[in-house]
Amino acid sequence: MPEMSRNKLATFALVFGALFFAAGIAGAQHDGHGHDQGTAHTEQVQDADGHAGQNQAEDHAEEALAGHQHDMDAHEAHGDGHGEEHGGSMPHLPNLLVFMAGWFPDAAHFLHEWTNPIYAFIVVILVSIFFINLRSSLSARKPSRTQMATELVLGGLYGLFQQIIGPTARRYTPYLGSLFLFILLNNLFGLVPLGHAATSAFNTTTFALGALTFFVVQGIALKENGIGGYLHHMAGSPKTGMDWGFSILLFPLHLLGELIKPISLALRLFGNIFGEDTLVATMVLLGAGITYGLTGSDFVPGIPLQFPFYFLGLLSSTIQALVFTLLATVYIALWLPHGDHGEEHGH
Amino acid sequence: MDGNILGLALPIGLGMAAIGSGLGLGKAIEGGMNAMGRQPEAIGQIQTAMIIGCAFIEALTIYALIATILLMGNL
Repeated sequence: MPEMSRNKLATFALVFGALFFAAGIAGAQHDGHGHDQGTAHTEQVQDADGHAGQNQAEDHAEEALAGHQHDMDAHEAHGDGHGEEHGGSMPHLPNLLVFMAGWFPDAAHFLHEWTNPIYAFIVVILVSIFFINLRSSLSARKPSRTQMATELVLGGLYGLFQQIIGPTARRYTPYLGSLFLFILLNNLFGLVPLGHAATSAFNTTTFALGALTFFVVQGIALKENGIGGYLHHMAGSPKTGMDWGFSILLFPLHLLGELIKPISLALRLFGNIFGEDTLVATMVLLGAGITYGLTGSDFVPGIPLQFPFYFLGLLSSTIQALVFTLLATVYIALWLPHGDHGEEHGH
Repeated sequence: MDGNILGLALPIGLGMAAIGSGLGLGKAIEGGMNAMGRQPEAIGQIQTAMIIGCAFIEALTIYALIATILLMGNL
């Protein structure tokens, strides 16, 4: 039993590394694509420097739009329009890297471009350290509290996958479980002060997760069905001559469906987490704006209007992590031969 | 204020999407709750299926939200 848990943990660590790697590659690609934006960013950084560290990274688009808001959030709630290509005027809470960009202006561009991979990396390192530390103290006779809590989480996840996939769920638990932990911790990181949810960016994190899931699902499908079975399934599992005729129509439909799945997964996660973060940031701005309007002083903290939304954030972070994982599980289950098109899971 | 028609269209469109998926979510959760009340021993399975269904319904609002975010640059 201890050997099995150790294997499980080792696989977790490996899959975490793969997740981070995918996120990094996607980030690098984004970096390559964003050359024309690069100039805009450096401009923005210079602009921010001009503000002498008072408002580190303010987007000038927002500056032009809402010059008065600028002063409202001067001390604690910088509405740094960080949302690169999705809407330049989205409020976003400052994270640690924004402050670091203020301290090290040379690295500001790099930090801005790589915010999401860096935060994903921080999460991966934290979780890896946790599991590696836990590994040395694993014991079947006398489990520690941490071990029991971890086993509770892993067992719960395994039970959930078993409900959907069936007895072979054991094989897929490492990937799906680490997907869940990675997404959940990244989502929760967005609620931590000075933290940033790496999952609130489509092109650096969530698309990488979706693409990784796509390749995993296709790999499992090919392995479980074989090439012939795979193509047969893609053609809508034809049996009679009529079915074979329709399979010409069904094949592109299934192909399109397979390609859309990861994008819809990624968009759902991104939209939810980005929306949630924006909501919290908007409420912070509102609270700071109210106190500024009442007192006219920069040194009065804002009303914590965002507080109730943290609970909403906790809820939606957990649900979105669960939904991403469950949908990936269902996509795997749909490809497994046993359920025969998974009538009970629906399409 | 030289506003763009998008300024009116985006919130209304998002609101309409929210109405639709709100109705859909209400119906899905109603069905799930009824099923749970009728068969409490199957709560786990019903919940899983319900959450997956809710995710698909909710995705429509999220698409509207993303379209809004993308188009906000044109405001």
